[in-house]
Amino acid sequence: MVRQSEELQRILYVEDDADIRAVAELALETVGGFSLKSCSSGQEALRDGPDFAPDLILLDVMMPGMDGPSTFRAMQQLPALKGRPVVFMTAKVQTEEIAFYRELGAVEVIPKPFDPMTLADQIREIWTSKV
Amino acid sequence: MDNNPPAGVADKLAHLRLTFRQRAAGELEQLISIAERLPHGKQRRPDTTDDIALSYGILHRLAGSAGTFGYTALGDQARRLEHRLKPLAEHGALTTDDDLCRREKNRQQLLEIIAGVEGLRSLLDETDESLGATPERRAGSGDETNKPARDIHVVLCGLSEKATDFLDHALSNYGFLISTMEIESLSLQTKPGMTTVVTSEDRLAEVSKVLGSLEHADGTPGPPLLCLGRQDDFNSRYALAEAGADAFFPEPVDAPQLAERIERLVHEQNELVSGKILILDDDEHLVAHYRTVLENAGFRVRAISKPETILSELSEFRPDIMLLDVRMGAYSGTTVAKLIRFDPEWVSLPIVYLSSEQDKHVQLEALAKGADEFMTKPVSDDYLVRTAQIRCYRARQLNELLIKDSLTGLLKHSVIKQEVENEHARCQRMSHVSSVAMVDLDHFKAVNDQHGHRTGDVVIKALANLLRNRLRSTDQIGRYGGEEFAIILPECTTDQAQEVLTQICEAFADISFATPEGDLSVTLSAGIAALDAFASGSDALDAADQALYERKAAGRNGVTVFTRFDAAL
Repeated sequence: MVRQSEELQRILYVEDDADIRAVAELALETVGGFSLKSCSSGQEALRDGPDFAPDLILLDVMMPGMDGPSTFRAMQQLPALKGRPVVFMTAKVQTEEIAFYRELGAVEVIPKPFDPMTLADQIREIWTSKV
Repeated sequence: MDNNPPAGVADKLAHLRLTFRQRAAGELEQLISIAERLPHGKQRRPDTTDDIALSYGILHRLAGSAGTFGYTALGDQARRLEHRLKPLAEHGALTTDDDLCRREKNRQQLLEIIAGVEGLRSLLDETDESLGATPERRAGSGDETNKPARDIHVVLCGLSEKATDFLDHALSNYGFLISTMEIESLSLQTKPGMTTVVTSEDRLAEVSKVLGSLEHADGTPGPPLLCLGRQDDFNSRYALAEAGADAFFPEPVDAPQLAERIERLVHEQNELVSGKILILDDDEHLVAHYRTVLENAGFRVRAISKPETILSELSEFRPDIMLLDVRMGAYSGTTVAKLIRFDPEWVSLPIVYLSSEQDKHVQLEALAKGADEFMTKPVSDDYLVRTAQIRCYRARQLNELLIKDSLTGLLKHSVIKQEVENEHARCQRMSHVSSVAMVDLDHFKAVNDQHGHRTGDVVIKALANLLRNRLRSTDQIGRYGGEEFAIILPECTTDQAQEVLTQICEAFADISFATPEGDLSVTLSAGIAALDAFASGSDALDAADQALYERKAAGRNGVTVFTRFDAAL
């Protein structure tokens, strides 16, 4: 199942803020038509992520406990998730931070706040151009 | 991709938006309570590490999420505050003695940053207003005067790059709209009266000159000019005042003080243009001329030529100042002034004599009989306007203190009662329909008992703000008793009043107040009566009060209109 499919379908999404998670679910499932697995923490994503077999992983950067970058590193230890394209979402958009996430291996950084009506398009765009 | 989202998304988004709004309101409340908890004196230096971390977390979340829910301005502002707090948040816990000094500094900085939270609150409320589901939120027509308070524009001009950056940052936290302009291209597109200019002592003279030329072009007074400078002594201050500065701030600038000053200067300027002047002079042509000049300068003017009508005109128009001719046919102006002073209500009304009397002794005699100033005819237009401005400004300052309730800034009991009578008189004369309403918080004693008077005060202030924001600027609001408010809605039917108050009722019930015992929400009840349907204003107020108690008996949290005209009052 690790083979990259033509079209983006399954997204694993990690975000600690319930309000944002709810609106992203709406944006990605209802508006975008993706199959979405959303988790409220890095730990939850590491536990449930492998079975879900995502095409792409969407990670919030700032989370209490295990933050985005450490979740990312831990994921690289799991064969089922290793190498899956990762997109970070962050409210900080300073260039040095974006460079840091890229270096870490993220394919793209989406700045927060995002627009719920265009988030799905934004991610499709990343999928076709960067992955 | 097709651009039409699936059905139901808009509704769901609206619902999520509401959830976000409620949580954001609670978080802002939390920040405000942190600010209140920080001691202002120097007696203790508590560790503020937790407060800083908590505030930083909240601001970060708002910065990243508010835009998603349509509160873009709020999110941008939260981000600015977050950036300022970042260095403090990254220092970590301070425990050693050496850190005590830094703690004190942190505390002060935190206080300063959180001071910007009030601005966030209004952004949350304003956005709600502009995107609200019901477009017809306000009763009556939507003309200019019905709009709530507008934004204050601050123009930064002729400042160093460093100062510009600092002020842009610091002042936008207070909800001002900041723009930077070069002296050569300095222009003021915004409405007069809502702009202020900040410059440096080095460029003051140039900026002042440019502003002076703009001023001349359209006749309205220029914006207040604030000046920053390094030297703070009498001579340099004198030089700045001479060069046209309206206020001076030594560097390094104290941002909260500067913000307060800007607000006050702009406010004062608006007070000036909205003054009310009553003119009594038997020369009708002259009166017409004065009237035109003063109206062009932005005053509201009522001019009368018959002294007999003075008392009713006074109580109906309620001027800030009065211009009085000394000789009017059979009547003497000085005696009219004495007669006006019979009424305690008008003892402090500034009266300015208009007279062709040149003799200083005669003038002094006249002043002794109850006037404040003498203008000798012929009066130049410019002198007339300036005198009126100065007099109105002082009268308003005094009046503010006399008539406003200190907690809420609403009219005091006696004042709103008098205003009801005045509006009643207007109804009779102009035969229009107006409404009065009484509003009371439900179970407020329990709020005070369970959460303390401090929380009680917060609730009362919140309701006062909501009323001010949701009602028209022509409506009058007074604090009638502890938790009871009286409202006058001129030219508004009871149906319209009920609609507006029902919306206010719902909006208020939605506000949640954070308390140590958990979130608190309070409801309100309102009673409405048609002012014009009663023999006097106080009868109408009684009827509104009766309707209020009917509503209380019927389960509170709602609005009832008085209809029992058959039952004796």
